[in-house]
Amino acid sequence: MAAASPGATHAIAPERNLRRFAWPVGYVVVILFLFFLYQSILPSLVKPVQAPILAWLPVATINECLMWAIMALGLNVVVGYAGLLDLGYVAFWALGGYTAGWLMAFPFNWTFNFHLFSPVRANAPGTHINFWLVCIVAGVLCSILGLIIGAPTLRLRGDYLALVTLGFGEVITQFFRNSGDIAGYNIAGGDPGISSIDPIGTGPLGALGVAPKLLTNSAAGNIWKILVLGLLVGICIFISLRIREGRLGRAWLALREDELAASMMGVPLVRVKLLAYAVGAFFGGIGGVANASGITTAVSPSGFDFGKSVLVLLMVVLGGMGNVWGVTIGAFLLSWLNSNGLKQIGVQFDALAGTNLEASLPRYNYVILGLLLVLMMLFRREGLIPESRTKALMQMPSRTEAESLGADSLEAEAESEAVEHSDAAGDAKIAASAAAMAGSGAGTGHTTGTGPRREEES
Amino acid sequence: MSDQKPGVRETLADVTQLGGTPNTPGDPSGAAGYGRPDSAESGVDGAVRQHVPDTGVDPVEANVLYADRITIRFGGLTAVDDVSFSIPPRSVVSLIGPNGAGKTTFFNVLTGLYEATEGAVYLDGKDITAVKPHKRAAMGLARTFQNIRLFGLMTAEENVMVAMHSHLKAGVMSTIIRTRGQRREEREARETARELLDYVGIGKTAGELARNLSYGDQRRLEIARAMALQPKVLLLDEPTAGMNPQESANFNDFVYRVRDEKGISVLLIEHDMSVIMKISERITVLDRGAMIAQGTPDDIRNNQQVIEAYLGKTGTREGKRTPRPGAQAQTAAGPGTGSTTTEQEQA
Repeated sequence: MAAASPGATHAIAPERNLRRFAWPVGYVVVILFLFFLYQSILPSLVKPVQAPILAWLPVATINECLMWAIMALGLNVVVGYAGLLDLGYVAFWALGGYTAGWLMAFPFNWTFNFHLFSPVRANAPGTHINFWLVCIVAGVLCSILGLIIGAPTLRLRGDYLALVTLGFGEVITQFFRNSGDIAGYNIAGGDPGISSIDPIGTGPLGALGVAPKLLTNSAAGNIWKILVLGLLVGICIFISLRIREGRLGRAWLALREDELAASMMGVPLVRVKLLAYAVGAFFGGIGGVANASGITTAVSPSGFDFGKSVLVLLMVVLGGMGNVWGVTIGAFLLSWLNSNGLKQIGVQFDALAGTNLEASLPRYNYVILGLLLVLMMLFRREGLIPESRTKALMQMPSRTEAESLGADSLEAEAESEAVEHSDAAGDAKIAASAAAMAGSGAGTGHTTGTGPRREEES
Repeated sequence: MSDQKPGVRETLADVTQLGGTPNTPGDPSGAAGYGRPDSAESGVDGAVRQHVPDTGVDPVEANVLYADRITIRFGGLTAVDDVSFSIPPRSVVSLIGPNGAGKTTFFNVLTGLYEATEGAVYLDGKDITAVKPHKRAAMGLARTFQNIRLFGLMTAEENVMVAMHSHLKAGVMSTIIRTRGQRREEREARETARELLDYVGIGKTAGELARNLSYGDQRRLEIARAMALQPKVLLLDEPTAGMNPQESANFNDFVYRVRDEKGISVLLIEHDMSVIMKISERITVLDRGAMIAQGTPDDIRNNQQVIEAYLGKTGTREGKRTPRPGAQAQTAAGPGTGSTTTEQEQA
């Protein structure tokens, strides 16, 4: 490859340039297809075609899937790229959600109102800041939070780090649960949380009358949210792909492979880990805003339980740690199962077998997801769409390993041969002693003959 | 790094005034009264532990790496005891000793994995005793590992590029936006990586995953990766382990090439004497944590203490060892002995 002539490199270059656009084009096509499917294709179809599609894949579910994809992509940076197990990722989701609550609602009875490019009425009380700005603010806030938790904990390794992050996730939830009265101040509304968060605005598109001005949870609003959330996911995928190609991405991979060797090669472990944490937290913050503003329109501590951290981790693991596409697919699959898929499977099964699974199947979602994980670990440990590197790890032993194993097996072969041989020698000895007992001296000479020979072998 | 400079200068000034004081001047326990370390230990002439008159050369300044009276204790166990060691510029020196002599412990103090209980390490005249391993690496102290520690799931090229981390500048934003500067930096880094792979003779494997390389190529890749740090000193931990004589001979040439063409000093750690004798300009021998000899290969070859450390003194350590069971069996190759060994093997 190094010996390739300059002409050959030139020939490769344009092809690579085209391939660069392959995924963005494909991605935009998919998102636009989804959008137009619900916007214009489905309404014009006949009921028997339209109904099952809407039942299996409602628009709201697609939006949820997209939101979870943001989260999974964020956790993928931490878990998949840098190999740091984070069991408290929900903390960033929560902080992102609450940032939306603080900046896009009327959480406190302040007399001071603040509006910044917000689509809501100008005289609405409270703080109302544009969705995109809040996304950036939440991302930055979460990154800072990530750095704050990370700085003392990232010196820990493996299991300890996982435990600390787990504790941290719980702490954040409890903080928001008690936030109604912290030293006499209402910081985030306590148990009921903050509700009626502004929906996403459409800005110029809304003004032109192409799209609804506010993307509420109405049918039309949900369809347009596909584009907004799709854009966010696209940005996250873009960042994920770009960042892994550069200096930092390589340092993360090296860290994942061998921390000690990485530090001996001049990679500053703590800083690189902190950056992984910060980037992951940034995505988590955006996911939180997308959830609070686009999906639930309210935040409350009960939504940010440990189960959510596990769910995101499952998406990453099932999809294929480290592979952006695998993780995205994993997020889609699991959030679909979680929000609508299980219910639909129940409905279909009920219709066939006359059982009553429609209500109970979604309740057992974690059992089913857990089962899925176990099956996955048994039959496809590397994930649905594994990273090419991990695939190599799972499917083929390392060359030196294999060769040293080979050497071992050769040794083992020689050993077993020696044992067989000594068996023969033992048999011969028994025969000889039998012969000696019978009064013949010929056998003794035979045995002494085998002694040194066997010695040489061992 | 720049914020450390005043501190470093201060320490250096102290060192030049007080000679071989450990990094804490004024510490009463810290052997300050002993004055300058023997210049013999700085490798000027190769005599061992003889107090030759001061040549006026400051070992800190004269050597690219200088370890000053290093002692490491693990609990009550002294792994390395008061060892001074120096690597002059453009030299090939080695550290040898029987198993358990403290070679690797000493090595780990140099690279920063262990903190010395006493003593100080200087790289290029700077006190790096308190500097973290990754910073030492960035400052030009590169190492390989005894049991190869490559990033197996990264390509050979990527392995080398990881080591360039400290020399590259691109941040998060410039990587995401892929600025012109970042792209140029990446391209140059890739070219340098290819050159280094060619230099160690595995240029064809640039795109292969490191774990798929053969054993010898993995060793070469480790060296290429270490060289990507643009080191002043290259520390090789048992580099010829698992090499055949032909490969070892090639390796000798390679080490000299590294020294002469790149101007890098090389420190080898080995317990195999034969390799070391051919290649080293100066050898330091450790035994049970203490330095027992230092000098040219010829000095070491004829040094009684070294011979004892390796082969044992008659009547002491080696004398207690039982002769090899094979020899015993052969001397008394009666039917009785033959049967007992057979039974042992079957068990």
